[in-house]
Amino acid sequence: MVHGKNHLLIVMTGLALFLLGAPALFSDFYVDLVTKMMIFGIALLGYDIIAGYTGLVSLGHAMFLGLGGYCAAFTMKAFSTNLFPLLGVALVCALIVGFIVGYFSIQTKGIFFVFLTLAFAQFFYLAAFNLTTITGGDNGITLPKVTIGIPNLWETVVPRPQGFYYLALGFLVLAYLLCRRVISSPFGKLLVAIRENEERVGFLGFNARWLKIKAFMISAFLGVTAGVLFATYQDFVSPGMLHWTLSGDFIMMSILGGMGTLVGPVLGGAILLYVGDLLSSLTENWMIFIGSFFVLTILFAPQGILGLLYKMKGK
Amino acid sequence: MEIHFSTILTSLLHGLILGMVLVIVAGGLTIIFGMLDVLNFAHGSLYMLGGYLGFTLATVTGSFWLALILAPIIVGFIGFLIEFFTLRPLYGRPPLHHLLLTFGISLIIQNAIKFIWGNDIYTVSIPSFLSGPTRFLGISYPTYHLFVLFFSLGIAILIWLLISKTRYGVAVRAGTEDIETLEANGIDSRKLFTAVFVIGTALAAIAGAAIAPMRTVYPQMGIDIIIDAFIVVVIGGLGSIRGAVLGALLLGQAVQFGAVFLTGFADAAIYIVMAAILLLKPSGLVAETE
Repeated sequence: MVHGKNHLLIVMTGLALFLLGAPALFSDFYVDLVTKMMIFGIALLGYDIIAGYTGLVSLGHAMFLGLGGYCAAFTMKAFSTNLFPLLGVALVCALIVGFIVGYFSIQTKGIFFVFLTLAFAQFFYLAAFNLTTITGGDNGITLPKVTIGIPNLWETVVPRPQGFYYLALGFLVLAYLLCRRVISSPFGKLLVAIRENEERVGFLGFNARWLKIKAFMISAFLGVTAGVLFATYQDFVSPGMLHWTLSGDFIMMSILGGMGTLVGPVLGGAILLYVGDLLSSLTENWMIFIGSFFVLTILFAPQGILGLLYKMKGK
Repeated sequence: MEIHFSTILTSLLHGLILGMVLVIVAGGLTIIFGMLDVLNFAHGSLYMLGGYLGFTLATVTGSFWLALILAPIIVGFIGFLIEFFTLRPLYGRPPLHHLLLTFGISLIIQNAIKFIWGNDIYTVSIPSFLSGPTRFLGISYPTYHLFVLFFSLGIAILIWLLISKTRYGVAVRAGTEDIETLEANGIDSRKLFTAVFVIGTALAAIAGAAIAPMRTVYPQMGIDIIIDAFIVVVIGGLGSIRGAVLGALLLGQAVQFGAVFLTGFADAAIYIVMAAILLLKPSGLVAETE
């Protein structure tokens, strides 16, 4: 085991060094792509807490990405372009919305949970789409350039793509450490216990319902963080960020990478974004390749790509 | 807004037709889920394929009726290939695996359709004796829409007879409850699974081909129907056919009256109905699986 841990440490250090140095080595195109991968990674980490560890697969995670995006847009319009107030406002919204949606959604389980979260997410999508006077409808909202620093003292526009790359990397590392901590805490163990046998957790005297709501709120928290970063990086937010197809992508990315492993979904997201980007630039018929990719993965590597890697290592 | 009897009647009819079409699409989805425990995401794409094939076959053969029969047969055969080669190895796996698989298949089918037919929208012409409006009860209503209503009603009755009156139906109903006992009674569940999947996909294609003259065939038609169909299956109670019929008819009316009364938020109506049902009855309208 000790050996395995050292091994992991070496891999992680190598990866960290690589990610830190990457912008100097690769073209802006790749820096941009990896930035997007990392922002998605933050949302996928949050998604893994609820879907992978707690076993509640939601089809509404885009709701939080979009919530973060629109919070950023409204806050920028109202008082500040500084990233930290944007995040502050979005996180407060995430906790409120996460609590309310979580409270109702966790009354159901399995596929019913999938569709109840879809219903809530669609309310947000339809609101963003139809309340054109506030949200601009389908045209979305163009944002001013986001800044960091201390207002009125030292403030600067985040340079791109490099500056944003490091910003996203920092947030991804923080999100990963947060999730690791959550998962290895007693609370995290209880989430896994809920996934395996919820009744028994209740018998042990824990309030499973409240634990599930908390897990949902954590996933909301990371979802809006990714949303704020994504919207400010693109300088744009539109109802597309709330659409169920994006929520579906989160499920696919997570299964592809391997649910309940934290690293897996981030990896799955990165692969899908890369493959999607590559294929759509090469051929118009990219869907046939992505589709076959899914079919082959589920037929031959059902534990996801991370599971496949472990299996190959084990042999 | 002044509401006339004729407005309400027209809305009711619109909603009813929408509901009946959903009964056929979601009915296929429901028997597949009830028997195989598979949420078939490719169902929308197969519905779409039914529409496109219907269009081409009607153009080539010159007969709408022949197209309406041939399209489901071809799609049923594709359903057979999907079941035999990809679903079979996956029975007993977590539902998410089926979802990823069928999602992949739906992308492949969508791409194939784009490859063959392009991004164009096609209008399917209505057989001459069904074109034009029919007048009754003070309203004038498109005859073809009425045909779709009775046609889907006929298909629904046919499925009902198949399930409740034949020995295949008994096997299917038994299989929904308990596969082991069914096998112990000497029925090959593998063949039964294949048959159910083929019939389910053929139903999607029938709906797609029948509705094509009403709504045209277009690249988004699969995506447009799949969520509605899933919602019907879910609020119906996952695998309950009675529940699905009830859910489909309810949703049809919700969409229609949403369009009349919730202008601008018409699409929200189905989600409101779904959220309300799932919050009040967390296992759907008719929980037969419990």
